[in-house]
Order: sequence, then structure tokens, then C-alpha cells
Amino acid sequence: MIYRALARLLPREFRATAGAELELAADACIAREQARLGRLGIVTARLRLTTDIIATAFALRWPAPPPVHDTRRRGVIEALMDNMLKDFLYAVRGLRRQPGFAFLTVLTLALGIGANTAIFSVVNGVLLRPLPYPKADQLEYVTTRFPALGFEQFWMSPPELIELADHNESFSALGGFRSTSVTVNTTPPSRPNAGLVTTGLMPTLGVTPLAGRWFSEEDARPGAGDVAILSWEFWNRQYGGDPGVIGRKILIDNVSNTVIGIMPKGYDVHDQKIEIWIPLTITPATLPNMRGSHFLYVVARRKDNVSPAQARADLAKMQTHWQDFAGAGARHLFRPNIPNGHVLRIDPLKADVVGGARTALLVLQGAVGLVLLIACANLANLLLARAESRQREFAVRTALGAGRGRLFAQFMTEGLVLSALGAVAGVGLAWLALKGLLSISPDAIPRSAEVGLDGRVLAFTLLLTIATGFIFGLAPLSNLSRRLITTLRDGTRTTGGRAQKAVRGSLVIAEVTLAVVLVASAGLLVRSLSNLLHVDAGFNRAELVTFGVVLPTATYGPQQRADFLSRLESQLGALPGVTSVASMDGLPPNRAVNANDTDFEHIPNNAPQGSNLPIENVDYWQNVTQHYTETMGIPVLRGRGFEAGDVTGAPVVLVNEALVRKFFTSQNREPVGGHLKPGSAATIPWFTIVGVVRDVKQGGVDAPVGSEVYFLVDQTPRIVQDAPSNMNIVLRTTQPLLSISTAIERTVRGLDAGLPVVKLRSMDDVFGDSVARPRFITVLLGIFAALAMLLAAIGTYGVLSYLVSQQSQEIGIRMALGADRGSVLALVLKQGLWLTAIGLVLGTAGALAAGRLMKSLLFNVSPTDPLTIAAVVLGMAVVAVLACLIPALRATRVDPLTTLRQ
Amino acid sequence: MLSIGIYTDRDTMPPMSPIWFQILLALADSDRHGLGIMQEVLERTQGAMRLWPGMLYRNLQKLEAERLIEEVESTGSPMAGSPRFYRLTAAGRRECTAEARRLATFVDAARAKHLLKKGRP
Repeated sequence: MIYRALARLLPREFRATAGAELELAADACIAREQARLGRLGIVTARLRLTTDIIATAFALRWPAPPPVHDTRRRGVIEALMDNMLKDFLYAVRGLRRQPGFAFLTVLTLALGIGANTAIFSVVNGVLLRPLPYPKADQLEYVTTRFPALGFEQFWMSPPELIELADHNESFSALGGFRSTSVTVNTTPPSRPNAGLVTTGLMPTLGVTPLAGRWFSEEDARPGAGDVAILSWEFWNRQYGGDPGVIGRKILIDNVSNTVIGIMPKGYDVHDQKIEIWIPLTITPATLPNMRGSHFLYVVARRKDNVSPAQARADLAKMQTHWQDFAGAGARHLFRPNIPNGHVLRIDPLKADVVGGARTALLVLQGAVGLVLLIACANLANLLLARAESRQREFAVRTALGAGRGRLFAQFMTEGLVLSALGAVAGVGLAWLALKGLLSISPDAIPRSAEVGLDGRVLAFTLLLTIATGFIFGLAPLSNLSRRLITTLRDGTRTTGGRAQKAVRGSLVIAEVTLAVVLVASAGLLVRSLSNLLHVDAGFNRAELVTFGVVLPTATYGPQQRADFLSRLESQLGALPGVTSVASMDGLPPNRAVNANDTDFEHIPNNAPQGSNLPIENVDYWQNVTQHYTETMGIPVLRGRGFEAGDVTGAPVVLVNEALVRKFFTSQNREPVGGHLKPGSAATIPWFTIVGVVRDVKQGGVDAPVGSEVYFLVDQTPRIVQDAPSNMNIVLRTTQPLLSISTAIERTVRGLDAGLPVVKLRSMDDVFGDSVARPRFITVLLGIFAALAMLLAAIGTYGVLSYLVSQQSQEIGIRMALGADRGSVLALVLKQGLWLTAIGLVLGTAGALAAGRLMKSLLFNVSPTDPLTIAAVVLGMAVVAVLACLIPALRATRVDPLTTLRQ
Repeated sequence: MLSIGIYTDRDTMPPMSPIWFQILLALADSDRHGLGIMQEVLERTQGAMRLWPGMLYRNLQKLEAERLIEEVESTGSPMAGSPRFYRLTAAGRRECTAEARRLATFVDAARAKHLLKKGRP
């Protein structure tokens, strides 16, 4: 097939006369080579036939001008290709003769190249590939800033979105969404992530449904029939990909919704893993009151000819006129001219999705690159030793007329053959590693669904392979500096010259240096992770089990929700081993900020600008049931906790220390007995602060604690006619999770069979999940560092062993002259440790520099943490001593008589 | 810069390319077609010289152009696709003999220096 295609390269008249015979002859050649070499013969014959036909085509189309002396020389091209093939076969034969060497080399390379390929696939999928939308670079993520409240990126409110859409000049489309989760009446009930979206979202992203249709303007009007669109993944998992599901009614949070479409595979927005799309209905009548309700993520598509800078300028101009759009008297306007005002900002959507993963991934890619370099240094050493034993072979070949270039080409070919074999195995390893990595912690990196091996990754691997082959293939060249004559005259015994000793020494130094950098970086991350895991979150997380339940508002009114929770808690409390049960709507240590306007009685509203009164906004509103503080183990520092009498009593709240600092201590006020209320409406009564509790981490274990108010779910239905629908139940129990989980599920089902129990796990697991990304990076870097250390140790050991074998004669003489074993041991150890010491010094410098690059990944550890670096240097020194000790001990066993006789 | 010295070294190369010599030698006793030449050379050199199709047919073309060989007039009906037979021309026979003689002088010299025994390669 290929042969026939290649034959087209030949001149027409040649093909006309010889074409058919060429093919017959080619078949004969393949048969001939197969008879000679078996299956390998078929491969080599095909390769040789290819070079043969290309060379023939060249020779016939561009006949070389006849040289003066010799009219019958072969063409340059053919000679070149012939040489390449010969080099290739020569290299393959050489490796087959030394299967152990070949196996070790290919294994090392497969690990090195495989790890690089795997990490690059992640870098490619997350950082390099555009988001999976048409013209994705036009997509901007629109957020608002509230510097006064410390929010650099906050959501937008519906009126803001509508006004921005109506009056901007830069965007061709805008869409907003918020993500939540809903209960669907699949069997068993499922709880997918849902996106509440404006109808503009899909035109903005530029994606059309796989089947059915997207939401129309009518779907989003109040009173329109409820509709939903399914993700491809949810459709396949829950409905087996049945196209008949379109038009069918499904229950979402106990409301009947008609399925109108299916989105294409992999479709998502902002990496929210949304599986159900529901139109966001905004009642125009309520719009004026929603100006301060910032809950929408907004994506905008820039017009074709508008640059990000132009869009920014347009937004800046718009914001100064916002009062014109919003109407007189509207509050919560954008105020870009006032310091700390509320302002719009745009960022590339991709940058926002990728976010903090960028540094982490680049650090990993750098680390894995260093591992490959260390592996190359090791292989260079191996090849050097091998080349030395082949000294005579090279000398003979040179004497027979092989130029330096020919030998160079030969080394390169050997290097490339090895690295190509390593790459093939490496790509396989990378594929396995990726599958493993992504299945172990899919949430540790953004866009994990888009990570895979593609053309770009394979091109990267190819480049890497060629570069690797060249790097370590070059090593034996240092041998060529030896004079041929010397080699031939010396006969069988060859000794490493001063130059090669220097090369070997620098390889060891380089390996130790790189290994120290990697191990120190891993050490910093390990300490950082340990700090994260041991952060005091403000409550006692041992022996806590938690799960989520969502009470559909369609069937549960506020009072029914509170009643359901108290029934559920009393039944769960009766389970064996359960000492206390409570519920909360925000699960620490990682929940979304509320930033709710909260009125304090002692702080006047509409305070004049420039006054140092705190802004009346609280970071977290936490709705809890009566036994919350005792179940969670949160100490009440002042006043009291919630009591049974509060259920029917006056409105009360608890606050945390951060709230006291911000709103009371700064005003020289006593918190207990103070008053606050959610919002500022006159209809809402004042709540009395009855106690102060310890700060609890809410925005992540590595983030500072925000201000927090605790409302009592048992009384809010009565007082503000509301209760949260999305609750987390928490049980303090001596039972392990596994033994109690069925009892929990049975209890919930007993109260309402339509409620799925979600995210049932121990509080320790909740913490573990909240540090998934740092843990992912730390584990990977730890593996790479261990690999680096191992490779460096093997390298040091290898070089030193070689030196000992080379010096055995010298050692023998020394011993014959009276040197004792101790001095021989010291002699050899000194050589190895001297190299290691230089590597340690250089490595420490490198580690200090690398630590700075990783600064943003570290938590409560200085990038130049002396303890970590000292421990690493010490550890590496111990490893180096061990690596040097084995060859040194071998040197002391040299028998002077034997060596002298040689 | 890649040197191509070792495989096409001018000093070690005989005046006639070994390929030409082997092709002419193959045709010395019998007319043959391309595949036949390939086979004969392979057997006679015990696998030491393996010709490849492109190499063979373009050298056949050149040898024909140099009038060292010629195509045998087809006997009977020339079937489409039937292989072409070649025969040695007088000039080809002369050149081949000259080359063989030249090589023989080297062999004689080697024998004279007792590197080779009589009658043994």
C-alpha cells in the first residue's frame, strides 16, 4: 500500500517500464528478509524498501552530475538514508546484545517521559486549551468589587445585569447564572448540580443544544410553564440516553418541569459541573428591590472588533452614568469615583476558571522536567561507561575511515532509539497515570474533564523524546577527545581520562543539585499541607458525621421545614452511639460568602462618607438548630447558647468574635444585649445578641475568619416567616461512619422517601476535601521528589562504583604499601562526598530560589524555611553517604595481590 | 556535519561499482529478468549482496544507457506485464571481464603473500 503510494514519486516513464516488476521484486525482498530475520525482517525490509524507493526517485529525477573521477558513486541522499538505517539497525542490535542495560534505560526514560507527558496533558487541558466554546477568547467574566468589604470579586444583581446588557457598547451578548443543587425524582432520587440561568447565557457561550431547544424569553417570564434542559451526562446516566425524555415531565424539587432539551457532551459553564439547566425567572415587580441582591455570575462576549481594554474603558464610562439607567433614588449604584465604591470588573473567563491552579501546575511541570533531567544525567553516565568499554570499537571504526560525524550520528541514533522506546512506554504510563490521577481526585484541578492525550500532548512528547535522546546521546562524545592512537596502542585496558572524570563529577553534582531543589520544594509543600490539616477551625471535628438534605419549598413551607428538622434530629438522636444532633445551612470550613446587609441598632444608617463607622454588612448568616454549639463543640465565650425557651421566646442570635471585633469593640460597645436585624426593613424585629461564640473557619482553612451571625431555625419561621431549605445535619457520634450510614438513610427515608441523603461523610473528610488541591499537588511533588532522590542516589552510587573499579589497581598498590582499610574507605568516600557537598550547596541556593516561585502555594511556611531546608540537606547527605559507602566498602575488599598480578 | 565517508569511501571503492559488477556477472551465463538477477546475486554471494528493487532497476536502466546490457527481443506474444529479460552486450562482457581481472590481481597478490591458500577464497 505505502510502497505503491511511494512509487508515485518515481518518474512516469520509469514506472511505465519497471513499475509492475518493482512491486514483484519488493514482495520478494520482504520474503527474503523474513526468511533471514523473522518478523524483524519484515519491518527492516519495509524500511529499507522505503529508503530505496525514495533514493531511486531522487537519483532518477535529479541525477548527480558525474564526478570527474568516478561516474558510479551512489547518490548523497541514498547514502545518508542508508547510513541512518544502518545506524538504526546497529543501535537495535547493540541493545539486543545488552538487554539488561536496554531495559533499565528504557524504564528510566519511560518514567521520566511518562511523568512529563501526564503533567503536560494536565497543563494542556487546563491552561493551554481554550475553553470549549467558539471564539472562547472573547468571553469575559463580569464581576463587581466591594473593596470596603474586602471583596475583590463579587456577584452581580439582576438589575445590574439587565442595565449592563441594555446600555453597554462592547458586548454582543451577556448571560447570568447561579449554581445550586436540586432534587430530581429519578429512582433513587438524585441531587445534581443545577444552573439557574438567564436566557442570554447560551447565545453568549455560543453553544446550541444537542437535541431540543434552549430557553426562550417566554420560558423565563413569571407564570410560564416550568422547563428544564439536561446535560448530556445526566441524560445518559439517569435516562440511559433515551431521546424520548424530551417533552417528558420530571419533578425537580417537587415541581413538575418539562424537559425541552439536551446539552452537548461536556458542556458546562465556569467548571460548575452543572447537570440541569433551569431558566432564572425574575419578576419585574420585584426588580427594584433586588438591586442589592448580588448572586449572579455573569459571562459576556466581546464584539469581534472590541479589545478587552476598549471594553474596560466602555464600562468605566458607563458606570459614571449609572444613575441615568437606574432611575433617581436607586441605591446600591456603581460608584467608581469614590474610594471603596462598588465597581464593575471584567477578567478573561478562562483565567477565572483556571484561577489558582496555574502556579501549582507550572510548579509540577517544572518539577517533572527536573526529574527527567536527573534521569538524563543518570543515563548519560550509563552511556558514558558503555562508550568507554566500546573505546576500541570506535577507534577501529575511525581507523577504517569513519569520520567524527559518522560516530556522532551513531551516538545520536542510539540515544534516539532508546528515548523513542522510552517514549512509547511513557505515553502508555502517562495514559494510566492520568486515569488514576483524575479518578482519585477529580475536584483537585479545574477543567479536569477536559484533560487527556491529544495531538499537542503527543507533539510535546515527541519534542521531549528528541531532546532527551540528544542530551544523553551526546555524553559518549566526550570520549572521542581521546587520541585514537592511544586507545589502539593501549590494547584492551582503557582508563577514564581526566576529562571524563570531570564530566562524571559534574553529572553527579547536577543530579544532587536538582534533587535538593525538588526535595526541598516537596518538603515545603508537605509542611504547608500539614499546617492546613492542623488549622484550628474553631470547633471539635473529631467524631462528627454530616450529610445534606434539601427540603423542596414547593411542599415544605418555612414552619414545616423547621418541624421536619426537629423530628429528624430527635429520631437521629435516638440512634445508638449518637450523643447530639444539630442542623446548619452553611457547612464549615468552606462555604460561599453571604455578605448580607445587616442592621445594627447602635450604628446609624446612611452614615456620612469618611466616618469610621463599619459598613453594616455581615460575611456569614448561619441558620442553626438549638443544639448547634454543643454538637459542633464550639465554645460559648460570653453570654449563653441557644436554649429550649428560645423556640417560643423573643428573637435571639449568637455572634462570633470577628463580628464583635468589627461592630462592637471598635465602637466600645458590649455585644451581649446588643441588637441587630437581617436587612433593614421596618417589618423585621430586632434580634437580641445573647452570646458570643468562638470564631469558626468558613471561607477555607487558609482564609481569615469573617463576621458571622447565628440565627435559630426553630424561631425564624415565626419571626421572619423564613427557614433555609438546604440544610446540613451534623451528628456527634462514637460510631464510625460506615456503621451509622444505613441508619441515617433509613431515618430520612422514613420521614420522606423523596429526599436523597447527599454528601454523607465524616467531618474529617469534609476537611480533607477542602484541601484536595494542595494535597493533590503535595502528593505529586512528593512522588517526583522521591524519584529524584532515588535517581540521584543511584547516579552517585554508579559513578563512584565505576571510579572504584577504575582505581582498583591504585588502591591495590596503596594497600600493598601499607594503607589500611580505613584510609582506603576515607579515600573513596572523600571523592563521593566532595561531589555531593558541592551539589548540596548549589541545591540549597536553587531551593531558596524555587521556594520564592511557590510562595503562593504555601500556607504558614516561609519559602526559605530554614528547618525544611536543613532537614532536606541533612537527609540528602545521609542518602549520599549510603550511596558512597557501598562502593567504598567494596574498595576496602580489594585484594592487593590480585590487582597487582593483573 | 555528517560525513558519509565510511560506506562510500573513495579509496576502498573499486573502479566499477560492486552493483554493476554483480549484475553483469549475473548475466554472464544466462539472460535473466530483474527478479532473476536479484535471486542469482543473492545465492551466489550467499546473501552478502542483497539488491533492492529501486537500486536494481535504476542501475539496469543506467547499464542499458551505457550499452553494457540490452533488453532481449520478446519471443512470441509479449504479454502485458510479463518481465523484461536482459542480456550482456559485447561491451558489457568486456567491462565485466576487465573488472574481474583487476580484482584477480589483488587476490593473486594476497596469495603471493600467503594470506590466502591456493584454491581457497
